[in-house]
Amino acid sequence: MALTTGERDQVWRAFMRVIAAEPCSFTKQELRAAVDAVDDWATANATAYNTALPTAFKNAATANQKAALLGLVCWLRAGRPLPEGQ
Amino acid sequence: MATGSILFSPGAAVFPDGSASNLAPALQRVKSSGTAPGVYFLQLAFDAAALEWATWQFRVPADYASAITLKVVFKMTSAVTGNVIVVGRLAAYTSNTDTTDFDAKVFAAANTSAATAVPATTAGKLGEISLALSTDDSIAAGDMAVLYVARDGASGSDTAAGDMEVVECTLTYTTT
Repeated sequence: MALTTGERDQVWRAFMRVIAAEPCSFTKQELRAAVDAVDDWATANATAYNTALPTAFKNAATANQKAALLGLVCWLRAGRPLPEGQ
Repeated sequence: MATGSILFSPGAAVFPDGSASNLAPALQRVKSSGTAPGVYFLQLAFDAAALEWATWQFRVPADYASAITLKVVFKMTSAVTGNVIVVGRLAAYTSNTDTTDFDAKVFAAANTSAATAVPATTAGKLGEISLALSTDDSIAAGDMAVLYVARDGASGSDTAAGDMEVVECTLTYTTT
């Protein structure tokens, strides 16, 4: 399910608080537009993502679990520590 | 006539209570990443998505004459492009003369900086904004005064991403 405007604002603010280690050569407005684009992309590609999942997981996992899995994979690919520190 | 200065440390700031329109920056103790002994210092971290403000109370020096100007020394947490907007206000009260209730004191109208580019290339590089406080609540030598400093992160002209970290504020003025 696509994020609401308020939820997109939450992502925007969180990015500026959490992803603070690298120089940002983009403005707040450009970042906010990117949040919109990423959420739109997630909506547009939800079916393709679901299709890419192994059948057993795809059939058993909830939509929230699938979204969380994508988020965790992307989070680690971005060089961020996972909650358990591994 | 000369230029006088009043220094305001982040550690001496008085913060609003966090209610609506009363959002405060975070007071942070920073340890530099340099070789030990690293430099430790205090800073105020102003949010990028809201107007946050802090205040300092002070006695106006006896040699104050005119031309009070706010200098804000700052760096950015991560932004190396975009602009910030700083707002300065004053509230001044002449003891034994003014008759209003100081508990009901309000600030004079805002003095707002131009959209000022953050230091480029290197996040953490110090920059300085100079803002003439032309609306000064008729501040005079000997007054009990309060300085208000804000970053207007809610302004569409404040475009820099991430926190603005204020390490020092100064009021300069022309002396008698």
